[in-house]
Amino acid sequence: MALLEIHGLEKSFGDKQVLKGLELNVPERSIFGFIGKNGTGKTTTMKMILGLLRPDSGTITVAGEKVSYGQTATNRLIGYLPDVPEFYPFMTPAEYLAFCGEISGMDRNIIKTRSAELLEAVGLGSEKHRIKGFSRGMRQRLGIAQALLGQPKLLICDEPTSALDPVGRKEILDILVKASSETTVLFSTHILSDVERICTDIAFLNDGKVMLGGSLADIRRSYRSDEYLIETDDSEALAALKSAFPNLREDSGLLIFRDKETDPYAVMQFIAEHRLPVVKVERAEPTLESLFMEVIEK
Amino acid sequence: MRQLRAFFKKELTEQIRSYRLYILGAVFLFFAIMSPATAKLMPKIIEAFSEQQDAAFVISAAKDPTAVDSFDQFFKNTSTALIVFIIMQAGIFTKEYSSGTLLLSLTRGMERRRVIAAKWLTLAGIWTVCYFMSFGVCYGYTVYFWDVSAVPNVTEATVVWWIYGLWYISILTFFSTLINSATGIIACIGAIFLSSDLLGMIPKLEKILPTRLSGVSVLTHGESFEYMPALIVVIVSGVMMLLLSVPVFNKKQI
Repeated sequence: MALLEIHGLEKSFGDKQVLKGLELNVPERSIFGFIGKNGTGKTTTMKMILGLLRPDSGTITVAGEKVSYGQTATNRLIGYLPDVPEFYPFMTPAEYLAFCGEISGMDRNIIKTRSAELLEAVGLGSEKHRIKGFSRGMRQRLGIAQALLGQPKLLICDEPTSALDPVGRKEILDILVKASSETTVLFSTHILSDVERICTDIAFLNDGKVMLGGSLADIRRSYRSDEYLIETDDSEALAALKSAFPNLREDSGLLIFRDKETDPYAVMQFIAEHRLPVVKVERAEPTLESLFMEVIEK
Repeated sequence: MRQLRAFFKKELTEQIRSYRLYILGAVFLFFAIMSPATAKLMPKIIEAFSEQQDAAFVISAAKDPTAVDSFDQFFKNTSTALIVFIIMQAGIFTKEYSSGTLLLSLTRGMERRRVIAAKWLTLAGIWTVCYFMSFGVCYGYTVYFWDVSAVPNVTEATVVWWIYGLWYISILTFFSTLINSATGIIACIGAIFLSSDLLGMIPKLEKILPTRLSGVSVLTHGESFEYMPALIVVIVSGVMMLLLSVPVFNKKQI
């Protein structure tokens, strides 16, 4: 059973239908990348998982328990980091975590040890200043510490890296990977390189539905690109290949073709027969970006 | 209970670190000192003023001020202090809506009714401390200047006025669960005050309207003043608004 299951989720704002029957399964212990352009309903979906928005129809279950709107009992299983986390600016990080622990009913001693541990892990261990003067990256890190405090089964992060510089982004991703050893991580993003770096599972959200979802390895395999590249530094060889195979496309010194249009073995045979000097012949690895574009264009 | 205590502690910390508690304390203290001072000085001011005027305008006020004047001033000034209080605290809920700080607490399992309880208790606590401190200071000065034993019903008037203040805190709380802007909340409280004040001109309604309680100071003049119906209306409607704000808040989208 998946830790988080969403079936037939629909939501409209006014006459604009944002979600049109969303289906999502987040397996336990995965780092789940929830991918979509801005405004496709990622935040809306997350808010409904947290019971902050009422779905028009559809069901959400967390660890088998149904999510209800308003007073949401399932939230005790979830740690949440909003896209722009706001904390009480007059508190210090340690005070804030103590407050969080108190309202979620944690044992006092556990609050102390756990918050010290977490603040250390997110690099705020020695921070004695009030949150008021914190940078975005610091807030984001405190946000993760806050979300992990209650040892949630599910950590939900809404675009945790979007507003950060490369260093800040790497820090957050590293923390998420570390966190995944004890919890399931669901995070939304539109930065595909972040997903490629850490995710085990993904879902592409487009036009209110999941267009493509599953384990990243499976998706890569099934969408194995049929693209081949030929690199050569000999201009005569280049010209010969192009005249023999009209479907070859030249792009910055590389010849690119798809196996649907041109048989790669025929090309290789041609190269061998004419003893053309080539640097390499390569089958291209599909990037998430090309997948993403393909899925959207369908 | 622990949630409530933690949230109450957070509210109090905020009041202290944002200096709101000190500012309100200073405002109430200022008005407390002003009350006997104004009562004491008013005849002199009027006198000085009339000397400059034509004899025709001379106000034959010059009666000696008494403790009653001081208390009258106190209740008048407390109205002003209450307005300052409401304006300064009107954002106690709405600021958390717009900044998103409440969102994180709620997603941690903070119960919404306890948020209401903690915030109401904070406001009621500050009002109570400021009000009675203010009264204490005013009383002290009044005793120093005049003979207080001649003033009847001071305690009664003071307690009724205190409850009247709590009523406004309940209104503030209730409207905070409905409206997302502090200005809107202030406007609603103002509208309620005005309509109660205006309706008070209808003789049949006069005795049951909440704003009647603001006139409770005439008790100290030794006059009879029927405030019980209005007090009951205030207590019942205040409690009802507090109870009603719980289901309203539970359904609120934050």
